[in-house]
Amino acid sequence: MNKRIIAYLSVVAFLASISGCVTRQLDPSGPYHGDLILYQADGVIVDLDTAYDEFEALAARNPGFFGSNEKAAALLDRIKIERDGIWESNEVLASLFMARDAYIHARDGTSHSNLRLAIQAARAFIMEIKAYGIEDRR
Amino acid sequence: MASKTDVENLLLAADVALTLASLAASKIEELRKEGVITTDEQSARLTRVEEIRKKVGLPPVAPVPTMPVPVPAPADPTPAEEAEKLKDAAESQVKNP
Repeated sequence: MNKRIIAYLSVVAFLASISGCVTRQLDPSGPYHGDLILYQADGVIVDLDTAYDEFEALAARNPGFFGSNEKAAALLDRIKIERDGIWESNEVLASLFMARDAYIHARDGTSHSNLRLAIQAARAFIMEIKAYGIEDRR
Repeated sequence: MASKTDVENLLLAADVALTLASLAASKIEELRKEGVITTDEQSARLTRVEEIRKKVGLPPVAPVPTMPVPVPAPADPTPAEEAEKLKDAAESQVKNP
């Protein structure tokens, strides 16, 4: 019986090792034409927007907490500014869009590097928002 | 003659080998399919991003951000220019007292 368990465990380990080696690739005939960083940037834009939605919903459900917690209130204000429709270069979402669009217009080393930095900044901001206990549904 | 245990071990080994081959084949095929982000998935993401762009009031096709061009400050007039200005001013006063 033990031999059987060991044998099946080895099968599971083998399959897990296969899974770990595979990374998703873009279908090159798709609208991103195989450009993974652009696809990732857009994924972060979607994640950021979702985090904003969830944080605003959290604030609406917990007005007392946001009324007494300055840090949370400041973060909520910042998110409202991010979504006020006025393009400011110091905003996380706008910066990510700007870096994305610049990269689309000129795909060179600088724009690639700027896009990567904008993605990192956006991911850090998402983490900051999620620190308030919003569940990650993805 | 092989004992009952030997036969059992042989059957177990065969069973494991077949299971391994079958699972590996199906898993590799599944991963091959999963490993590609399809055109539909890509289109869905692109559509979502354009919706967000519209929602936050950003223009549909954003302009390429450019660095602001520094405007040079007006240079201080040289003594010769200063003298010329004073001369012009004096002349205009003489003409129009």
